[in-house]
Amino acid sequence: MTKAKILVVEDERVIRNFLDAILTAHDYQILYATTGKEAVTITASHIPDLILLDLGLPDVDGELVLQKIREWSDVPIIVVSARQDEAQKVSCLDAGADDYVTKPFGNSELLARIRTSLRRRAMIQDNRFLQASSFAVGGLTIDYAKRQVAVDGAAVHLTPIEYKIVVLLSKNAGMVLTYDCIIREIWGPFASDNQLVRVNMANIRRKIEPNPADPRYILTEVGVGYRMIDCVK
Amino acid sequence: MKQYVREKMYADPWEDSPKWRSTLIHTAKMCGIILFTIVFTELLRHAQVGLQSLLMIYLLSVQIVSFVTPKYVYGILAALICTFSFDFFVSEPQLAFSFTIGFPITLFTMLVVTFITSTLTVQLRYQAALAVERERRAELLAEINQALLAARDVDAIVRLVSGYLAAQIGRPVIFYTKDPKNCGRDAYVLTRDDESAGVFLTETEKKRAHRVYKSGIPDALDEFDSDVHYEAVVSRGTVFGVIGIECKAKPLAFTSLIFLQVLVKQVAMALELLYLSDEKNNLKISAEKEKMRSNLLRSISHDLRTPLTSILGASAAILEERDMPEEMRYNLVTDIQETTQWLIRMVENILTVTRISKEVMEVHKTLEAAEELISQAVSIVRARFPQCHIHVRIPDELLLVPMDGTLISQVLINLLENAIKNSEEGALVLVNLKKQDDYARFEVIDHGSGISAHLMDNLFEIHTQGEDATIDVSSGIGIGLSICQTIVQAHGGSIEGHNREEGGAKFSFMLPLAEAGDGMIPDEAHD
Repeated sequence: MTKAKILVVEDERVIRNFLDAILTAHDYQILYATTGKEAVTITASHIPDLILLDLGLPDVDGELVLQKIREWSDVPIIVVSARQDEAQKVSCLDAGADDYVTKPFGNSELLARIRTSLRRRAMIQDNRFLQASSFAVGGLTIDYAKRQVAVDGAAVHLTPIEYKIVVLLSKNAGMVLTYDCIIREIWGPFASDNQLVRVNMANIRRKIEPNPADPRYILTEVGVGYRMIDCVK
Repeated sequence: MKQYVREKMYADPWEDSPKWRSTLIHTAKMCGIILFTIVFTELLRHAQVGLQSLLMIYLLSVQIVSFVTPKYVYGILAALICTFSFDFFVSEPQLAFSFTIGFPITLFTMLVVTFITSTLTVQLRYQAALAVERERRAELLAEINQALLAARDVDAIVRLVSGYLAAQIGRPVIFYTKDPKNCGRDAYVLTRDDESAGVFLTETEKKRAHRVYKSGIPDALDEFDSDVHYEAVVSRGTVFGVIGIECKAKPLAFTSLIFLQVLVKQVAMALELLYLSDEKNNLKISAEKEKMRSNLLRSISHDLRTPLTSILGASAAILEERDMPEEMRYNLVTDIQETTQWLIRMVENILTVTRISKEVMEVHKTLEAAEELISQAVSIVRARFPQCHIHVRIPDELLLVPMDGTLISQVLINLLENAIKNSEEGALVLVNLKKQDDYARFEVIDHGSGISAHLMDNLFEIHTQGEDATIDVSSGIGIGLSICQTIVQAHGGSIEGHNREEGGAKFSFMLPLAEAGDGMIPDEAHD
């Protein structure tokens, strides 16, 4: 198996240094870009398997780079942002970013996100998504064919809407889905009520989580959206 | 300009009694004086006093009558009677009318004397009365001025002035404090509310009031056919309001107008003073805030110096001491990591403070599910303290609370870290969410050492590690709790902390729910 190529778009030398240390240690091949322009050029010439994109770049806004690359490539992009601004995270996710991490981030967190994105990418390429007939993480299992959800072997009764949400999250397990994205997928393009999602999510949580106050399967990214875990830690 | 009727504003001593009575009194006076003159001159004539002296006495009597009576008519009457009686009694032939050449001359002289004396008398009396009235007005104005200076707010001033005006002029008064155009009920104060409101609140009147408000000068064009007289309350080019006085039935008296104008100037000055002092107060408050901010910054910078020094020192030691034992190197790196984590938390707290609007302490609120927020905060704290033991309890109903999620999350994180640091490693920390009336109540309960007594009094104040104290990186008390309070208060909530009887501390804060019943979970989710 060839090493996965990761393009790190980051202008801070110190951050590049330690990313270099951990990514090399985990057997990734690393490319660097320090400006937005360079990032677009290298993406075109080297076709990386994943891009770590810092939003604060010296020449252009990282969000523009994201849009530019998304015009012709569906390479997984993880946005790295120093700003704790939910609106920006949401707009990046809606613009096609696969995931985001906020500075300061832990090494293990970053590596987990990279693994998830790469795995997902591989699954899309192999068409495994279409073929998948079931999903399982921890004690949660979803049988797509039978439209059944079970927790620790016990069947859970979900309303049609709740089932659709759970399926949507499971098909994108490991990724954050924004409120807007969930609303669009479940209720169509004209609905726009975050509360609808929250109320349904609260119901789902009370049905599938052992302790709804301390969810294990569907995590909340406050102000952004929801993420179903793809593996138990 | 309008012709103002010269009303008799002064108090006429004679006018207290009925008209017929005063006429009787004045006539009696006149008759008395004339009778006395006739008798007196007859006596003098018998004493062989000269004719010219007697004429003088007659003249004097006419003058006295003119002086002591308020109207010309008594003087003229006296002049006529005296002329005839002089001709009848004094001049030759006595006790018979002669109507010599001297008669018209005497009559004319008498009339002129009467006229001049009466005019002077009337004027004098008018001036005297005016002076009294002026003094009364001046006293009243001084009294109003005192009251105005004592007034603490615009509303008080407006009510005070409207009251005085209505009482003094005796007409309904309206006082606009805002632009009368499309104004609401809060824009004006009316005296004698109900019965007179119709005069003021018609479209045309509002338009006129608006014009006066905009221009700052009375509206001269419509004065004649208007039902209301308007005066703009202006001081140094700033319009503070418009006062309108009803004058539908009768135009305003000249003196009333003067009084109104003087009063309007005083009100304008009082209002200007009030606004100036408000401005001054605001400046004072913002200066206070600025002081607090710089104090916070100073204490933070001071607090930051120590961890930065330790990071610098530890990293330098690792770089320079090549032969350092592996264990020591490991310890130093661990220190660096711990210190950095402390710095990160500090910076996050400071960042949350900047999210709160500087001027009005306002936050941008959206409806958030309280339980989601708690679980996120708990997962963040778990990542930082892997050995911690946190248990969360939430109610069956979904509580949707209007809040800035990032800020409330920070409050929970601060409280949780505080709880963990003040307990033994691995001790249970409880997080409860409850609905209490129209509030969502968040509780963080630990089983640790509790809050020490010296912190109890000002738990949520900024506790800075002063110059003399050494910084303890692992201590949770710092700016954290003070930031929690700032955030919760900015949400219109309250926060409290106390020791539990069973041991350990309990911190709880309440956030107002959107509306009663709004946070309920529906029986059936929307399908």
